[in-house]
Amino acid sequence: MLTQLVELLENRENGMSLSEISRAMKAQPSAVLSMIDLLVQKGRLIEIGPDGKCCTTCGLQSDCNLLAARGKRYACVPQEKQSV
Amino acid sequence: MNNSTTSPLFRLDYGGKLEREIAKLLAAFEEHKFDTGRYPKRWLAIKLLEADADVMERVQTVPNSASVLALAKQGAEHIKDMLGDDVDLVTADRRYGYINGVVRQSLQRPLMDRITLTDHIDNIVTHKWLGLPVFFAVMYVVFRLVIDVSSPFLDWTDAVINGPIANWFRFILNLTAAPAWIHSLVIDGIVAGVGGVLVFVPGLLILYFFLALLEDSGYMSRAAFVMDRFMRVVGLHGKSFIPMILGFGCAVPAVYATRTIASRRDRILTALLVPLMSCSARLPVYVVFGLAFFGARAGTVIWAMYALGILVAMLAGLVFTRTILKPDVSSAFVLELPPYRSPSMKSVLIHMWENTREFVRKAGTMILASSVILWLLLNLPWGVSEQRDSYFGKVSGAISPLFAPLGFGNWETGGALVTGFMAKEIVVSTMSQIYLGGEEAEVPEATTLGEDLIGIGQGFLEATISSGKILLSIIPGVNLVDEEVEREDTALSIALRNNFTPLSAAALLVFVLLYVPCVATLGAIKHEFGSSWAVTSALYQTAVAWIAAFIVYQGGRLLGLG
Repeated sequence: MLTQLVELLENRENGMSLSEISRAMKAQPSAVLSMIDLLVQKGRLIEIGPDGKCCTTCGLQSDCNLLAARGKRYACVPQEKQSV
Repeated sequence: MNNSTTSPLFRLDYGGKLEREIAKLLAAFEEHKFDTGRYPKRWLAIKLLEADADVMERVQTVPNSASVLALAKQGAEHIKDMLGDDVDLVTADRRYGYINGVVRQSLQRPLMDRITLTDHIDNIVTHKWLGLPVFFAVMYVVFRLVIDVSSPFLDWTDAVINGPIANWFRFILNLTAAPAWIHSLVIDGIVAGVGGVLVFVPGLLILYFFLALLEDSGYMSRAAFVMDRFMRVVGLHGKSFIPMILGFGCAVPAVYATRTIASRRDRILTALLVPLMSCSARLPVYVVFGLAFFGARAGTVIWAMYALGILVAMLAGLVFTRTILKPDVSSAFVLELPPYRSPSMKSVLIHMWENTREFVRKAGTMILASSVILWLLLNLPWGVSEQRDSYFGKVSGAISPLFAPLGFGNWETGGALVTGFMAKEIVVSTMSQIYLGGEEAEVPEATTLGEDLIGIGQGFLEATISSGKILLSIIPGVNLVDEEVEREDTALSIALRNNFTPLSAAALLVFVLLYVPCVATLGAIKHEFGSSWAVTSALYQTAVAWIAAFIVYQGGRLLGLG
């Protein structure tokens, strides 16, 4: 499942939202979220904003109205940037 | 410690490679007489391979742990080399895969059906070629419904404002022995002006009701998606459609909504196009002229106005992107399509009320003030007998030749269009004041307050029944509408028919749709982008409006329509 999730996101330049991922994987969002959290924790995925920009480096993340209104998206971390 | 050696009833298979490393560790536990304490041996082996920090810390205190830990580290590196992932990811993947398999085999979830239904609907409404016609068809149905369903309520509101409410004002004025000019100010100025706009409150409530239904059901996101593709074709940024959707309500918040767009060039371009979306303030103008000149086709005419606004915005965008606002590097537009759902009636009603409240508030402030000022200008110099000779009439008469090629070169229309710069619905209130304000009112029959209230209630009931019949007649095979009953003309409709032809009315509607944005919208553009862009917006829109109305009127005449 994790492999499938990573493969799903690999070719998505602008990432996918939780509900898009859950629809694509035909699984409940709550089930998918724990997988995503693990992959984010392992540095395989990153959270990005609705405009495709990376949220983790933005100081406004907690106050971001756009993020609150439109939700997070998740994208694959490129191989060369993954922690060894 | 009690060593757990019992065989579990269930053991998840982690796959050959990982299972081999687990077996090696289990063998090492035996070889080094490694005390696993209260932890199951297999579980501990897996945790050591996963390099679980907590378990590693605890194991380090156990005798003979060094060799076991070294073997675990070696095994984990071997797995990573072979599978390309950390052991904890491999094990988690296996566990999730197993859980997913169990769930699929044992559960049937209704969510799947809903997703499937959503996907089926999306296959049509977001289709590359069908999406746009479906969007326009949906909007057409909405505007037909708005006109047909609200029509009995518009008549009822008109009858209430010009009947009982105007009579109550007359009664109070007579009771206080108010002078004639106060009578004229209240009845010809305030009641005609503010009342002329308030008549459209039922229409707006119904419009917002249907728009809220579309939004709440999830269709509006699809509309944005469909239009995004279309807008990209003509060189616009996909994000521009969100402020444009807002522009159907009011252009002022729509201009401020452009802040979500990253590039300044895209923000300016969107702000220049947003006022071309037909805001709710223009609806009273469409309804008055639509019902006066186009009867049963009023809904189609109004829909055409909305569609024309979008079309002109697209064309204007195309021109701007090739001239003064050449595109820079565009960022991606990401739009989430939520699953379809049944709209919540509470949320729909709140949406209806919040939007209509703003319209009523404006009627009580700006339109009230403008009605009083207009009444003054129509009566100055004091004692003027003909409105045409008033200050307002003279100024309007001076600019009216500009509109002559468009088919509405009379001073009344020129004046109404100038006042429409304050707010578009003022066009209607000004026409009400000019055409109806000077009329001698029929002497109403004396009625008591109780009779008035009963009449209002009965009228509302009849309007509700008529609207209900119209709504039910949408169902194929059901026709509850009495074809022989014709809609009663309002006094304003009759006055307009004396001053316009259907062709000049159509040209006026196009002009009102496209001409200079209201003062509040220009203020928002100036605030966001500076005076020069506000002036650009005012000038280009007025020029486009004049040209478009000219084409409609003169083209129609050439085709023998006028």
